[in-house]
Amino acid sequence: MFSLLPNAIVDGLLIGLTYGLVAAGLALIWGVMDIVNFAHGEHMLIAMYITLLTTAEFNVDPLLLLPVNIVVMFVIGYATYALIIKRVMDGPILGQVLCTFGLLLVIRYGIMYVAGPTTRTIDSFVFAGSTTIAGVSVSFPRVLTALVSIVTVAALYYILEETKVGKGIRATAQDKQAAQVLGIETDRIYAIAWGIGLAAAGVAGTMVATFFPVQPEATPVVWTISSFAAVALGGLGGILGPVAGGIVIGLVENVGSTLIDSSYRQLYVYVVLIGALLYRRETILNGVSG
Amino acid sequence: MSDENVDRRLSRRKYLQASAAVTAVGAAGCLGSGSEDTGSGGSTASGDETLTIGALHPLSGDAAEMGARFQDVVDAGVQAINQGASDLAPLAGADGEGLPGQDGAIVEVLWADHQGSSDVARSEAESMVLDDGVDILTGCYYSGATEVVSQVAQREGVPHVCGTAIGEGLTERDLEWFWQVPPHTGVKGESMFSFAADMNDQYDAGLETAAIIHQDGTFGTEVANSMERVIEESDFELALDRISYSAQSVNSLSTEIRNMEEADTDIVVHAANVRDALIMLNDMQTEEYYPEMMLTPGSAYLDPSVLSEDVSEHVFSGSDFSNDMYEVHPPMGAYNEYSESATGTAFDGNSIYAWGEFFTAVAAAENAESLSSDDLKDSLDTMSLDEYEAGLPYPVEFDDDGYNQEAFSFVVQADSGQLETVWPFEQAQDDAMTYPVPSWDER
Repeated sequence: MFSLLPNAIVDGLLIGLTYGLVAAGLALIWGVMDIVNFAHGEHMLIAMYITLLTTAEFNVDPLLLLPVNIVVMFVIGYATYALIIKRVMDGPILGQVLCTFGLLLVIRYGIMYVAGPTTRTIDSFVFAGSTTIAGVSVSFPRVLTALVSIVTVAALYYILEETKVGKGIRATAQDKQAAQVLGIETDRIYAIAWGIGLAAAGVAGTMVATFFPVQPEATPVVWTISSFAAVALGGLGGILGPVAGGIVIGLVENVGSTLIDSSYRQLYVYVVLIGALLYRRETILNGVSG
Repeated sequence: MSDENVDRRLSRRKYLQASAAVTAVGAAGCLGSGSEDTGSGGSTASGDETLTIGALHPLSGDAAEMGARFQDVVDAGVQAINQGASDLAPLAGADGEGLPGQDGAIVEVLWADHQGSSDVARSEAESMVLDDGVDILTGCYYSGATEVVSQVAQREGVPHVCGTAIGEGLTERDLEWFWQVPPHTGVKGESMFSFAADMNDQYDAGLETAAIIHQDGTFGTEVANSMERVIEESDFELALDRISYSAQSVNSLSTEIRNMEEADTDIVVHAANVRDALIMLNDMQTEEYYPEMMLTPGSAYLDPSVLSEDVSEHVFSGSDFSNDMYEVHPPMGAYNEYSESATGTAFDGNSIYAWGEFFTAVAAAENAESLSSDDLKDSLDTMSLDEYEAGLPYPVEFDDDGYNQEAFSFVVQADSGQLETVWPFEQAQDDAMTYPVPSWDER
């Protein structure tokens, strides 16, 4: 059993970084605006279907669609805030919840209407395949997804820490009224935060589609369940916390499955999550920082 | 009556109207040059009575695409009955317009989407029985949904003909209004491991150990229960305790695969949905592992969206269908051609169940004294159909528990997106089987 531990650790790191990327986008919106985007998985789905349909139709490599999806998802995020979310920002929490849940349904079933309910996979990918290094099997698409996750998280960190927009986002997250007094256009900051959050979802969706079967109803759930747990574990205090949470969840899932019993994969995650929350209850709902 | 009920009924009515229109257009468009019985296209039988069948299936979710194919083949069946399709003899009810045994009564099918939810299935079944007055319930593919619908049928005294769920325990609940047509998971398991034993006897395959891995839903758990029993009663041994995983949240099966590899498993039995079947095969490829034999109870592994993937090549499955079965069972080929010409949908490993389910219900009505519930029940209790009459390659005759004791599963192997019969060996075409299965590198 212990001989399989290196494989489990590698698998856990790879999948954990992917959870972390999804969680980073989720946490950004959640942390800045105190709105939970229940449609985050469905926003990933948009990028997945852009990737799947474009590669099938035009025989384009999925990797070339990464910048396209980043731009498209940023625009969708910006527009979603400006046209929809802004109108419920000052309303009751229930209205905000219903709003993002409504988005979930519209996107999910809109995609199903357009693309059908078929489970799809990428036909060709330049980095398809796998190899074995020191007895550990690794899938190239999963490794590449993990690397892209690291680069994306680093970019998000840089944006939040070093750019004027990032400082505006952090200032708005800490105190909206104070930010307004200082001349920050908080509505624009919110829209940009949505844009960046969904662009991160776009990166995740594009990369996950390279190795994971995609179906409109089932696929988003797989990635958002663990990512919500990653946010809860890592806290809303910034980008790095949720990413760390994602890595911990990936490791717990895989190491627990290898050493104990793979049938209880979810149990290990939630035991750790509940334990961590009991130990550090204040981690959730802190302000955004790097 | 609540607004919700009104909406639901309206929805079904609309669907029925649309189905009727599609059927009429299909008849006019596809069968204009067909048999003489349907040459007039669009005409319907003149009987006053209508056999109304309530079909409860997953039409959304993971199984939505399969549900759509169910609808297509059943639409073809409705057309064959109402327009007549005497070329399809001995198919029940196809000789002449409407049901000959019921003075030309036409057949209508009301569809409901249970979304894979037992609660939704229950409420839809109740609505179908109490509001729409269906004569027979059919469905429901998922064993969990089938269980609750059969309870509604039992309570309301309406026959429930199940041709699409294969749970072994479904007919072991002392229900008087439930009949199961296809081979259940136990019979499938017996066929699968008889095949494995025959491979040892005739090909020195050296198969000794097996592992069971399954999704944690009702279907996966029932398959695992049956397979475990079959393996324990056979000469094979379980290489390790059975492995389950969450069907909802699984995104990798690498750990499970490595555990099976380390246990030196010869045969891997996997009960899966489409998504996790693809994850399993892709992860096996990543791990550069393939057992001596990948042997599945069918379901997802018979689905065209799995078969279209290269990784599904050479998987063995228990099945009621194969693409080369028409060589051995010519009437099945005729039925398939009819379905394809009527709706554009050919049979596959799952939709053939819906076809058999529909025609078992039709045969019950055709042979009943009347369309009353009691007469339909008597007809099902005493049913004795030869092979092909219910649209299936085996006879239909129910035992006292309502299980079709004639149901039989053969074993198929995936080959270039097609399913080829490999067992019973005498039904297999020459060179149909690829064994030993080549490693990933050799493919």
